[in-house]
Amino acid sequence: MKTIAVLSHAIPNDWLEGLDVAVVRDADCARHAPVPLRAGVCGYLAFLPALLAEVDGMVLTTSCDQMRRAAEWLNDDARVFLFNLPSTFHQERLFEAEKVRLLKWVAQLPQVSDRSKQYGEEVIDARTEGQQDARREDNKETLSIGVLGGHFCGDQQSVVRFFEKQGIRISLWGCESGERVGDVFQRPNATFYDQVQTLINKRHIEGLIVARTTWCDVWRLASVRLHEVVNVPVLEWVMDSQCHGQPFPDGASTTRLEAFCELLRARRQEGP
Amino acid sequence: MKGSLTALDGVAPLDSCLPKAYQGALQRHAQSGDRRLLHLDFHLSPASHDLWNFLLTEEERLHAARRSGKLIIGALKDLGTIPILVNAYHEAVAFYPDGAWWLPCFKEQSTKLLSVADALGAGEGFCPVRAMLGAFELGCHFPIPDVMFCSTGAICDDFKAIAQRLVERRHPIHFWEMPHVREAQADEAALELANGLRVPMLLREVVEDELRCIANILDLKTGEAICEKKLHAAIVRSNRVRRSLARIRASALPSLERLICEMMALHYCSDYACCEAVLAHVAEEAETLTTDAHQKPVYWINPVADVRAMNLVEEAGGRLCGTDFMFTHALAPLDEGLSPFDTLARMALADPMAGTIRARMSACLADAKRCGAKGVIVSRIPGASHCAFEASMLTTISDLPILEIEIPSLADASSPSLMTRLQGFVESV
Repeated sequence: MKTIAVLSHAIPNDWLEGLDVAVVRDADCARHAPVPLRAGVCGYLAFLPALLAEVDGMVLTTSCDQMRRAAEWLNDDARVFLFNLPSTFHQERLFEAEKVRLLKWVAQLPQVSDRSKQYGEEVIDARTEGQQDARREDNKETLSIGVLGGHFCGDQQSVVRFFEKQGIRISLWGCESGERVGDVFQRPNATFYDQVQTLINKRHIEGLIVARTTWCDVWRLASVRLHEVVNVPVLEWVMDSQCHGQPFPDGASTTRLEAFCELLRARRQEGP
Repeated sequence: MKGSLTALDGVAPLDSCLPKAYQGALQRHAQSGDRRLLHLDFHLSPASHDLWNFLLTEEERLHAARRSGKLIIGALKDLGTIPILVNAYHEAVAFYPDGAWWLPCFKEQSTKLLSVADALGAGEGFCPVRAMLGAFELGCHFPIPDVMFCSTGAICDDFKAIAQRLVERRHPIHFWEMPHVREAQADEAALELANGLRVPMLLREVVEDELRCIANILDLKTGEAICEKKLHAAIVRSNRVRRSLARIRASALPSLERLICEMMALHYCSDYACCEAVLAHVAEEAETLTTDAHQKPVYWINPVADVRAMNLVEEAGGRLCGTDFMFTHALAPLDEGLSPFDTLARMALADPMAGTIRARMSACLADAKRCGAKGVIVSRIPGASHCAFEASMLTTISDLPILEIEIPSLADASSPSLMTRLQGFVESV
């Protein structure tokens, strides 16, 4: 079985069914040491060389310029596939042609690593997502938040544990490795904000965290827009420390996230 | 010969090619807020005087166009393709709002542009093009376009984010897809662009479809029907401008004026006929100039947010022998023998920013060697997503010395260190 890192929501697992492929959706930043980057480069890229060394191939998309450039920066044309993802809604022809090109590349990609045993069990099964949604809707007693953002530069489980200690449940994990919530990179992207609000209502989410890297311009302004349009508090979390390899929870992040948790608890006590 | 704004006014042309309304002393622009002009060294010639007057009267032209009932079409990000299409319509004029990135420089930060952009979320981490957001919000620097088209897809993240913010601030934009331009695979139908790159045929078809859609919208908005003949004529006119620019690029015209001339290829400064006349005069005069043998020829990559940087490189003992200000596709001759939409699609695909950094840097290096450059200066645009990768890529392929610098919107505070770096580089190449 080949192991492929597919680092975009836009490429669903069902495309790869039957191709004997294990799909890795995240760089697992907590396990890898970051490489030094120049100012201006998305911090997530620091973890990609280590990830590429462990898998047979990697799929990036042109959804953002940083990822488009990353495909070239990794300097391994044979093992890195750049999917030309349209930013508009109307270019289905390009999208379909790219899907064909991707599947051909996957089929021809040689298996060189033996990592599939390690990664094989981590393949995200898109078909179970609906069931997970249903479970998330059950519990209205616990304070619930959503986490949105691009590629997450930390360890998701440690973040989940952090909030559990605060008595808060993450009922939406909408970073690139998690659920797909619309497409913030589409132009125009008003439907993305509508979908976020729909999920907030459906899952009784009382606060949103937007996790991003310093140089992520798209999520930076998306966070500003979320402040304007959704009806719950929004906190921007710039993951600088994690991008530099510091494990979560670090001092700056903890203080900021704890303050947010306090705010949410106070809001719930005050009532509507 | 170079000198101050006052000295340039001293050589104002007696036979200006500009309409009367745009002639006059350049000092009036400085008095009305373009204070950067007082701190620049200009090439002293009548043609240069016309060039600057033409550049600095664009806002007046746009207001005049609106009063006369013409539609103002905002062409965002594509750097030169849509204006040619717009130029085929009698009742429309193309405008390039991204050009607002120079306002903080020309106004020497005396406007609220950047603070407004800050308030809308586009802070200092963004490229200076964020000034455009402030300009739209304040509505006092140019007339708000009647229709706007913006390329999206293979563009920098700053612009993608800021364009969306404009939509959220109630400035509707028609986005069109500019796909990432990659080399065709062996098993794909392909075509070769004028720059030698072999790209998938599908990309040309995608872009041509997009351009035809834009033409349909323009047909509806202007009430004029585009035809291949009109578009072909616009391409022929564009080629005349490009020929003048080729002469200017091959001349010893000083760097500052060279930058201004090249920028005019993007949208003809909102008046094609005038632009053609101005550039033809500049080219004629520039060809009489001789190169200063004491100045070292260097190649310059990326436009500068502070135009004063163009003076600095010459003060440091260098001269620009070649440039890539991010829109070489707007300078190369267009193929007049193809279907016009095909020609424009191929032009868009030749946009160096839509392709790989390696392809762009390789082209820059080849051009630098052809121009006889002794070194290459990579000028970073603060916050721009592509800039972080360029110099490091160039380093891996270049056998010419490379200097990487960053030019903010107003470089006065950093000019001592910039000068030191530029001098050190120029001396050593």
